[in-house]
Amino acid sequence: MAIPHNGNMSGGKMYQKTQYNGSPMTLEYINQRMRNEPIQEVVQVKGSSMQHPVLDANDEFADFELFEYTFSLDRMVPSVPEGSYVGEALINGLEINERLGENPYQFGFIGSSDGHNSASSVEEDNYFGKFGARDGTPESRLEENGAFLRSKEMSAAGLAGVWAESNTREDIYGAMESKETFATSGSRIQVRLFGGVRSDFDMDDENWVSSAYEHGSTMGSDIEEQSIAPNFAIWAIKDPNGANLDRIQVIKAWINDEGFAQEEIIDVVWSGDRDIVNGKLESVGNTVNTENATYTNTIGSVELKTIWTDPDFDPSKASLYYLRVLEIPTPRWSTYDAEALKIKPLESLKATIQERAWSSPIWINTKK
Amino acid sequence: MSEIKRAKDLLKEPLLHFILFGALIFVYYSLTNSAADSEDSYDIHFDKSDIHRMKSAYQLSWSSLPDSLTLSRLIDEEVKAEIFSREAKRLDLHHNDEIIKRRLVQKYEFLVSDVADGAQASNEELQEFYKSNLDKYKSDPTYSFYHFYFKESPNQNAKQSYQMISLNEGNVESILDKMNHHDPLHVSTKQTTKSVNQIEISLGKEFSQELRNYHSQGWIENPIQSGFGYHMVYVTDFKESTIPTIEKVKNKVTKDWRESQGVNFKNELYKSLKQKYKVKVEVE
Repeated sequence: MAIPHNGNMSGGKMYQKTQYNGSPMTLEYINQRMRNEPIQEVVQVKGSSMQHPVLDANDEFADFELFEYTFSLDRMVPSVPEGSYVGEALINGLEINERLGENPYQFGFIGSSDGHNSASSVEEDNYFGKFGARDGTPESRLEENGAFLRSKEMSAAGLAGVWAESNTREDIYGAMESKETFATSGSRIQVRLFGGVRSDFDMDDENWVSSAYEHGSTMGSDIEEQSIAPNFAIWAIKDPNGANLDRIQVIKAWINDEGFAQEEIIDVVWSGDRDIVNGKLESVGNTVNTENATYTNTIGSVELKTIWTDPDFDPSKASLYYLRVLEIPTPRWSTYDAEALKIKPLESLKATIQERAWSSPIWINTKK
Repeated sequence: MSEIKRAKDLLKEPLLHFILFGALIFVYYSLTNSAADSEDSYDIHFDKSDIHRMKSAYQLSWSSLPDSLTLSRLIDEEVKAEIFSREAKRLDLHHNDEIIKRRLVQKYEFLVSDVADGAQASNEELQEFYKSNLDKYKSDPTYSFYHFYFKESPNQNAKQSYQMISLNEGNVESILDKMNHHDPLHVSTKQTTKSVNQIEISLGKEFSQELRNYHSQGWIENPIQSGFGYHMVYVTDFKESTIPTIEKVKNKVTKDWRESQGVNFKNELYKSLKQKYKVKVEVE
């Protein structure tokens, strides 16, 4: 198994619509790619490879921990969004599948730190850099000029989540092979997604997870052709040491009537009493005090869950669904660093972050 | 006793280590260079043991032996590698090469570790090591408990209604069913025996630190706060952290002792080798 990482820094090479050498995709190439690369790293210290605002103008949360360079030690060359991000690859995958009958980008997600300091440097309030001595202090990380490899733009991220039956090598690898994995930006959020559960499915039942396994399909799997819209069981719980949850979104992609893939982001469950105004859920608010680098859990939810059914489901078109779970805003690591140094947070960096988790998708096929 | 002491002294004798070390290097080279003709010659000769080595290396990667075509390609590759590397050496390309230097250092350190790994500890030495490193062998305290979750802090009535119920082996399941005043949260209510560390992973730091203050069986009077909310907790069992006897952890103690000896040995070796060198550093 190979897990591609840092698609964001690939200069458009990671998720091309063609083979690497520019020739059209073949079934052989697609099968080889899927055999070797069932899961992708979507977030790490060198930024997120999930969404990009240029590729998705309608996504108000796409501008998240971007690190837009191709990698070389002597200079950082700007990367290219097209072909570098997983959100776009999933959409293109559906289109390629529509044309060729196979999907090269039918993968699950994990996060990882990619730290070079033998430790997991993923917490905003306990970030110690990626390279050890080069960026191991607040001073070295926040240097305005000359900071090593633009370390001030790096991210305290991420973690790999695996739903394995037991804590053994076999079961963990098995779950990774079957893509029953999720990614977080460093927070220990847990997220579950099951497709095809019954309409009377009861998520208040203590044993809902085992009945979802019995009757539903797990994240990372594909569901064969459906005549009616499947029900999704959607659940997330906060990091017990971290911030409350803002909302869970379903990100849906499908083939439209013209034969092109299209994406939609739907808020399906959220904290508090908030309305959807002009198609957008009202903001959860913000308790962050940037000067002191603090926040409170007076907003947001501990746990979010719902049964959701797509009102626009079209059984004749292939589609995919995955979850994005957002935390309430908290101070970004650079804000904690600024507080430690008793300076103002750098204006070139965001002072707050909405940590998040992404479930692997579920694909719904049509008859081949 | 005197023999143990003598053996111990002998082991601590650096000269012996160096003799052993020298012997090891000799053995190493006679094993690895069996086929090597003089490296600056133009003769290349692979004998049976070289072929066997190629086959084993292939088997390790591919879980099957190479067929004859694959083997002949492997041999071609080795011949090419031999020729190119000899030519490179003739051009002195290995001189001051960072990667080659790193690899040589690594191989040298492997050899040193092999010697150090051979050290045998006496019982007295193990005892002494164990006693001065007790913290390494201490087990985590463990709890078995039930907890009932409330979003908001439960009021006095709710607390009392919980505390009136005595949970014990016989009635746990039936009583759990009746306890429906708490809020639902998808975190297991029933905690099997878990170490404090494991509890911290599932319920957070705040909860596990507060729980550490309670050691007796039964209800904890006030709810314990966590990142999730409030928990009414019933402790069924608590075990304080224990220090196992040396017999129980002998393998680990031996391993740790050997590791510490290895570090010492490497440091000593480096110190004495360094004496042979004149080091001059010019700082700009």
